[in-house]
Amino acid sequence: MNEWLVAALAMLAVLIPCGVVCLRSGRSDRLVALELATIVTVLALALLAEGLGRPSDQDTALMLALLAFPGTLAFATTLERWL
Amino acid sequence: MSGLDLAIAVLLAFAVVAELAAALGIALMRNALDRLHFVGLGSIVAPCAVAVAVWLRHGLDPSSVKIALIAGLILLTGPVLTHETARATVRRSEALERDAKGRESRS
Repeated sequence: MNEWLVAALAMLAVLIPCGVVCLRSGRSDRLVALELATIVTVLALALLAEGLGRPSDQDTALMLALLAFPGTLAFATTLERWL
Repeated sequence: MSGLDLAIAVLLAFAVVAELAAALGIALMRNALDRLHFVGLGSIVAPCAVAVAVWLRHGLDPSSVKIALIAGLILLTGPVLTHETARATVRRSEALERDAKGRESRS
């Protein structure tokens, strides 16, 4: 267990408040919590890749960072127009 | 623990504390627009700290370039997403207000 894995675990714990907001709040607030949760997940994946010594696993974090942008935009547009 | 390892540990702890502060801020604020400020905190501080920690560990390396790309993506897209979410929130609340006023005037 090195400092990278400890940091990755701590990042996963940060998802708990985001989950609470997603469960208990309105639609716009859920989108905001989802945005932060996505950033936290990207960082957790990157830290996990460093901690396990597998640099190829950073590709997962990179893909999530790339896909988060259009995904969140799609949610925001749906929220604005149809929900 | 060498100075470099200590610096890496401090940067990682800083990143975790920044994200925790952002998550707590989101949980404690009352409305979506106030919560968005904390998304800004989470999308700037922690990715930079993690990227610097990886660069300190590896130097110029494919891993460091990838993490710099990841941090750069988050830094570039974060403000755009924050703006769009805020716009969607404001427009949605305006539309809901208009609908509520329409229903009141009809009844």
